[in-house]
Amino acid sequence: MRIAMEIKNHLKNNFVLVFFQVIILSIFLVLIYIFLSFTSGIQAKIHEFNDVYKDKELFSLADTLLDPNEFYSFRSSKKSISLIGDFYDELNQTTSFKFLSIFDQQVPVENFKGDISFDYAYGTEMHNIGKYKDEASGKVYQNIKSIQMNKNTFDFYKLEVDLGNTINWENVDYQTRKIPILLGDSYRNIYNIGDVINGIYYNQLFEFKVVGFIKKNSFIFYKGKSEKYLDDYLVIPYPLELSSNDQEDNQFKGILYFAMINGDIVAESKGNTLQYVLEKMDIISQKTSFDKYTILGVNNFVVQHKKMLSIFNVNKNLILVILFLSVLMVTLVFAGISYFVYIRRKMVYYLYFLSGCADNKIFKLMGIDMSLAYIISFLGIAILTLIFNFWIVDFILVLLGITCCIYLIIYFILLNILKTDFSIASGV
Amino acid sequence: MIQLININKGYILPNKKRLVLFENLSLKIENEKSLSIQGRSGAGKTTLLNIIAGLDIQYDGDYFFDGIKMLHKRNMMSDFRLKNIGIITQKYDLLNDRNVFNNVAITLHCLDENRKSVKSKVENALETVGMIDFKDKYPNELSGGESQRVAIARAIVKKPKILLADEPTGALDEETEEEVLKVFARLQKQGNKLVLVTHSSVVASICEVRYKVENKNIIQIP
Repeated sequence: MRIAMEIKNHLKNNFVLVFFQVIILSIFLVLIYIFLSFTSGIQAKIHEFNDVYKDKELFSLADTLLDPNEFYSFRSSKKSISLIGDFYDELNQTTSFKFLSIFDQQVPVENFKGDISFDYAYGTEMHNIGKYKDEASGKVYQNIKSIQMNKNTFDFYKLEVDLGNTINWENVDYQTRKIPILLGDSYRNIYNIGDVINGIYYNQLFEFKVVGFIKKNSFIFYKGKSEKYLDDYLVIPYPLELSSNDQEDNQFKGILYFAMINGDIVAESKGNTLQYVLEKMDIISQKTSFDKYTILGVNNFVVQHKKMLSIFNVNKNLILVILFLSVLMVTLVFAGISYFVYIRRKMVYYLYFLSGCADNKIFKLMGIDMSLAYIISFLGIAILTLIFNFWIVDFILVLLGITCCIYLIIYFILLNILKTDFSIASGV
Repeated sequence: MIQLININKGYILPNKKRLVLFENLSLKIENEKSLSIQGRSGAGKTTLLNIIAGLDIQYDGDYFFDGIKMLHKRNMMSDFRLKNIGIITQKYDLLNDRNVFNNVAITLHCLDENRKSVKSKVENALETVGMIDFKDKYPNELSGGESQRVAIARAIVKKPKILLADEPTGALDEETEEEVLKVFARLQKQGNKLVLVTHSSVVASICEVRYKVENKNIIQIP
């Protein structure tokens, strides 16, 4: 049997029907993808969330020097800065809780190699976006997204380096103005391990040496957002200690130290965790004579977790209903069109039957006729997958399973029709 | 060649009553070059033809072909039909999505013949029925007689041992009927064995032996 010729004839005669089937199926497959992405994505996030934040509570720590003059005079004082340094070191080293020091200070980078998506202003309403020339030096800079963090943060969020080396925290010495950094996954084809990126960090020229790339889709909890992805960020480590930097420039220290004491406190859930944290903070404050801080007492983890669960639960049932109805509708419509196609192709099957063609060959032809739309839709989606690389292999396998089930149902229905219809020669 | 022994066949009507079509019908086709089966409408002529063709396996009784007992199994009957039987239907049943050549070739596609062999056999068959000049035309460009001749070519292309035709001129006018009958006459001369089901005595007259289906059985007409 010349299958290729029969497919060509089938398409020639039933093009509109097949096209309609392809459209319906493609829309249906997209719906399936959206559903799978949504549920698996949310569920994965909830699992990750539970992994990281289980039995823990998070509070925000912020300084209270809101008045600009007061802030300026405080950080201009060497003694005050020293207090902050001691305060930070106590926070960083305490075993009563974990202090996660995180800040997203933008870094002007000289001759930046990446595109606009790495710009600090990208995706915001800020106007200063793109490269610019510094009048003083004549060099070209671009303000790049950057996250600064301490080792506690890095360890707490289980950030992993999957290319190169992780930060050797002992080597983080700001005095040399040369510090190792990590880059987000999106930087892989832009910079290499060992590259040195020149940037301005709190008005100081720094050489940032790339030592590694962080695993794709790594994220942290930052400023109430449960997923701040680091793929397009420079990750700059904070030093392990501050109090020993006596030779450091005062102005630089002032800005840096204040940034470093703003962060999150993570404590084990104890019943009255906030009270416990406040007590411990009080001890540190008294020890270091720094009391210009406040703790935000809302358990941000709980808030975020509840939001996620709520999104999932509210939408899950709705999506399931939509999915069920879609599957039902698609199956019915598809079965209807398939049967109509079968009626139009019946004469071909009948003549093969009349000529003495074996049943399995006729069934094979029927099967191909019925599944042609599936094959076209599936191939189309597979090609899109390869071009745009945004579908997952698992999705393809699930799609294959679903479409096979629908196809088999229709095929077996038609199989019985064939056995009944072609038992006698007349009646076509 | 063909022997039907004690064929019993019936149908269950919508009113649940059983209609008996054949009762202990026996038929032997051996040396005859051609054979006609006549009878009034509803007597069972087409059903008998279907049984001979192996299209209908829902009956009691025995069917022997060249001494081999034919089992009531679809696959066996399909294989038997593929190798031995050519069928010409009343309504020509040509496919409008392909030309005359490919309509005739459909039979050979079941045999998985190569292109060269298909070309040669199809052209021979079309020449036999006088339709070689029409091989690139499509069925909607043919007259009734021309269509029927293409259907005949389709049946003979695989050189079957026996040709079965069900009312081959039923849809044709007298003049066209004569053309088709000439083709059948030519086929007989070439050694093809014919079994024609017809209610037309003109068509039956070209056959060597004549039968009639009557009273649930088959009798030879002198």
